[in-house]
Amino acid sequence: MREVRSITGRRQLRWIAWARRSGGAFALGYALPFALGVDPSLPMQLSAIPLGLIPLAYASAIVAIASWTSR
Amino acid sequence: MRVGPVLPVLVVSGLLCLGIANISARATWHAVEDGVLWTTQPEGVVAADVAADTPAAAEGIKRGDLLLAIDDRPVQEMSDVVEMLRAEEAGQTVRYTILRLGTREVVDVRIAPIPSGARALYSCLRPSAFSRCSSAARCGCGVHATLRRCTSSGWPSPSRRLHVLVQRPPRSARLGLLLGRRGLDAPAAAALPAFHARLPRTGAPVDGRFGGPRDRALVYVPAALLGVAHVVAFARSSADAGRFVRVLETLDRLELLYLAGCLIAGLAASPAR
Repeated sequence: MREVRSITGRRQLRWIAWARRSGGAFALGYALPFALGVDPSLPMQLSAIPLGLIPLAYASAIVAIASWTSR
Repeated sequence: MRVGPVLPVLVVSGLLCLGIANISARATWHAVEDGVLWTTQPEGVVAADVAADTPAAAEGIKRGDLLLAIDDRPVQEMSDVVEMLRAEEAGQTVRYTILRLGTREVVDVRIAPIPSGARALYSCLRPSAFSRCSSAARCGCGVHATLRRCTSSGWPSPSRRLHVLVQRPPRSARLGLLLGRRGLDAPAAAALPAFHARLPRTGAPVDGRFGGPRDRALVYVPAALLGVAHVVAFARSSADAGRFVRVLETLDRLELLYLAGCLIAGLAASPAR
């Protein structure tokens, strides 16, 4: 993040950071309890929804980085 | 090296299309079951296990019953059962002719939709391109190489057991199997945790740097071990159905434990904290 000076680049990396945080929420809210034998309740299952944002965030960042390098 | 924007845009578009295809295929997926784990034995198609609270259990089908025919059409292999059930709709009644202790019996079984289980939402949203591709292909071909029948409230406690149906697809759907769980889906699922652990450790998502050999081993060795364990479990699935169920339960727990560890490791290593 510190190495990226472009405002667009920083925004993209911020998206990735949020995507990672949602992954952490899924890990703590679903994956770990599930692995330890807890029956997944509906709120636990809903913590999987942000996972769908992760590939979109990475894809968005990849497009942005490709456009930086092509300039 | 200069990279034009066309290729990434194509990749992103492809991912989006696969995601939409996956959700669409799951929404329209038609699969039914009778609640019996049928296996092909030398004497014919035999009930290896019958799940509780299923149509077959309600009609009194028991372990060891030999299935002779469905709707008067003879059954010779487990794939015949899969094909015949696939042609039916949930709620319809099919007539099983079974042989039990030397006596022929006819049982009417009202088939039911397959429960999606507690992992349905996670499976649908799993951010894996290969997974989405293979799911779409599998659903499109009407193939379900492996179906897990969970209790309605999710992961089984000791009193609620996971019932696993292992069904062989018809010959016409070999391509679907190739692209299915044992083809691309399993490697994709194994690679997903490493994806989450590796990318956040880089300064930029396309940077290839990642820790040292020990870091790589910590991320990739569990994936390889889980993958090999799954392959071995499936290879030996016909030997002991009960043991196969227990092994898959354990592997599923370990898989999510590994995923959780990688997600947390990726979060901890975030350069944008």
